[in-house]
Amino acid sequence: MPVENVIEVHNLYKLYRVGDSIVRALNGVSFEIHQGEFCAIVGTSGSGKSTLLNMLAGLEKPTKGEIIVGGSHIESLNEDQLVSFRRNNVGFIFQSFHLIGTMNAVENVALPLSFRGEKRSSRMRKADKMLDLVNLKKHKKHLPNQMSGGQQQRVGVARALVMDPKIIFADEPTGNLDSHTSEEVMHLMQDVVRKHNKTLVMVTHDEHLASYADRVFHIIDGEIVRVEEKRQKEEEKEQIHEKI
Amino acid sequence: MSLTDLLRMSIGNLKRRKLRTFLTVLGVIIGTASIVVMISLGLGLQESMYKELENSGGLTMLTVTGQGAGESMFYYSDSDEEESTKYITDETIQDFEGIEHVSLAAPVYSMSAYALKGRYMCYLNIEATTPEALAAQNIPIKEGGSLPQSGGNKLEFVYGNGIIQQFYDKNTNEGYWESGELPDIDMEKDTLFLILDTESYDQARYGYVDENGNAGQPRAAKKTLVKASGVVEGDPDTYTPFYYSAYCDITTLKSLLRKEFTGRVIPGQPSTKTGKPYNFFAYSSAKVKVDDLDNVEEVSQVLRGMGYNVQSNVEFLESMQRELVVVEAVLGGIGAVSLLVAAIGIANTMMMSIYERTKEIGVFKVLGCRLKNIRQMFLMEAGFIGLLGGIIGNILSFLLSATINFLFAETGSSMGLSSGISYIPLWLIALSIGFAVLVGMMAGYFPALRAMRLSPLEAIRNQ
Ligand SMILES: Nc1ncnc2c1ncn2[C@@H]1O[C@H](COP(=O)(O)OP(=O)(O)O)[C@@H](O)[C@H]1O
Ligand SMILES: [Mg+2]
Repeated sequence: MPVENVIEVHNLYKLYRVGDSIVRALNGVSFEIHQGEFCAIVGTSGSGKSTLLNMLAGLEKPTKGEIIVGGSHIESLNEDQLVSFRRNNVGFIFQSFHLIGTMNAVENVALPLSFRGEKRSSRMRKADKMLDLVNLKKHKKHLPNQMSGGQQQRVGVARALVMDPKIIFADEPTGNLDSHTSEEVMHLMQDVVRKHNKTLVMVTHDEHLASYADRVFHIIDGEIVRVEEKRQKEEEKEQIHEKI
Repeated sequence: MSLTDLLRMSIGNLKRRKLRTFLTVLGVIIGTASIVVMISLGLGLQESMYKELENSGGLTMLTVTGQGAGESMFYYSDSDEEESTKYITDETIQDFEGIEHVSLAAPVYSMSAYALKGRYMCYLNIEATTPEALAAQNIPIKEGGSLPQSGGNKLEFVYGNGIIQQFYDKNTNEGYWESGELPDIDMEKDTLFLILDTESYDQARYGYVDENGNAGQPRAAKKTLVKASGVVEGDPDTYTPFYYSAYCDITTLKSLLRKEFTGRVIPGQPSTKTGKPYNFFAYSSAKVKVDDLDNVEEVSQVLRGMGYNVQSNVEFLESMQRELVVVEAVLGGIGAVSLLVAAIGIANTMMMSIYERTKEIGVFKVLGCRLKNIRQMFLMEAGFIGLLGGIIGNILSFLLSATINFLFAETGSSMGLSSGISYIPLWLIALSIGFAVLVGMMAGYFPALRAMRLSPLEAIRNQ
């Protein structure tokens, strides 16, 4: 079966001018991400992970290079086109959740659907289903400040999923959570993307959390230095187990 | 995003900061109310002027003057009009009636006479015309009264409501203005003595000196008994268009004058070079009613062509309207300044709101909210502040207007404002609310653009 590339990046550069000096946040990056893959981008703070993710999501323009998502070049789109690209293709999970404080859980999840012009009744129904999916049955009417961090991030995951996007981006999704809750949220995300065959690109500085991914990109000073295939290893492990 | 979603979002945001929204709306309320009240004052002025015009015959009543006759305390003539050399006589009135589009032509005779009652007397300004013309003036008569009878030989008057103030004590020469006391006269019921031959009466009072400087016996002035058929509605202090004059039937007055001045020239009437009276009676003016406003100009031209001077209220109305526009613009301008201040308040509120919601706006953008929708959301919010302020401002204006009218009811009526000094028509309500919304949206425009241009990255950056 030929693997479909959802994301292709060729020779991506991002340079920032800070005063007189130039910061090379991304220094010539190329890779592909396949349909249904869970990828993690791992690196120390300041290595350029967020910059890379933002560019994949069309939030920032590259200095040089090509980004092809779902077959179209997004580096040449204008802002209106980028917004519509995100609306139709991308889900986003934030480190600090970024739920709307005045809306309860269901309304928060339903919000992106309203940007698509969906009717209120249908978006509330979808949002409701999504919250069931992330195991938040009891907190649907809760406001963000009435929920724990883990619960809030589950709402965040539901909000990213409700759009039924081709790709989900997550920037340090567990950065504000304790380690136990982090594990739970990681399990949830892994579960959901596997079941629904979604592509998930996650940024983290934590090697351990990265191990939930199928493939891990190691990034140092704006360059991808190593790509680890986890799923194959797991499959190999499983095969070994079976043999035993 | 659908309109209802945008609306729900905007209103939700306004509800989020209730106090701030209230204060901003308060600015708009004050701004709108001051515009509306200011303009309503101008309109009240206009309205009462129109009413007065209506009372004085509206716009279709023409006043035609020829060569002066009678004695009038009012003399209307524009300086650019030359004095007519033609008298208005019964014949002329018939000619006027024959003009196309004229529905009524009536002679008017103005003169002065003494009215006596006990120790009081006054200089009475008499306006005599035909019963039809009297009826056409719509004089508001106090209940129980009626217009003067015509055809009999008894002279009856409708007294202006201010006439009683003009009586003064014959002996002390003190009147209402000096003593502050109204004379003890019941204008409706009491019978007065009318003296038409004022000259003879004065001679009897102050002594008569003939051409040669010798004291002599003056002619005795006849006293005619007159009664009121009615009195004009209103207190002696309330100004009305029928304040000063006494109205009576012209035929009866004419026959009285002829009797009083038999063989002599009636004062104010033209005479031949040798001092003999003519055999016609010259009226002071004529009222000519035109059937339709559109024909006023045409009839005026015909009358002018016949050699008479014509005044209608049309020119007066036009010059009045020009002045009123200025007054309203000035008053409205004062109100507009306060709405401008309110607009700055809205802009400020919107800017604050955007600073607070920078993250939220960023998240909206990341999640794919159209830029246009973000702009609309903020514009709606600002517009909604305007709408709310406009509506409440109008309610406030109504209260203010009612209060003003109540407080100044007395003053207003003595100033000649018959319908209250503040008047808010429906179009002003609609216009002011619309304007408040527009001002709100304009004030919100640049903040909205700013919100639209905020970088979505603001949302992702932590802290
Ligand atoms: N807007 C910016 N202006 C200047 N330098 C920036 C900007 N954003 C990121 N950088 C720099 O680019 C590098 C990569 O940043 P980032 O992608 O945020 O790192 P990470 O997410 O891996 O911690 C850092 O050195 C950072 O200082
Ligand atoms: Mg980062």
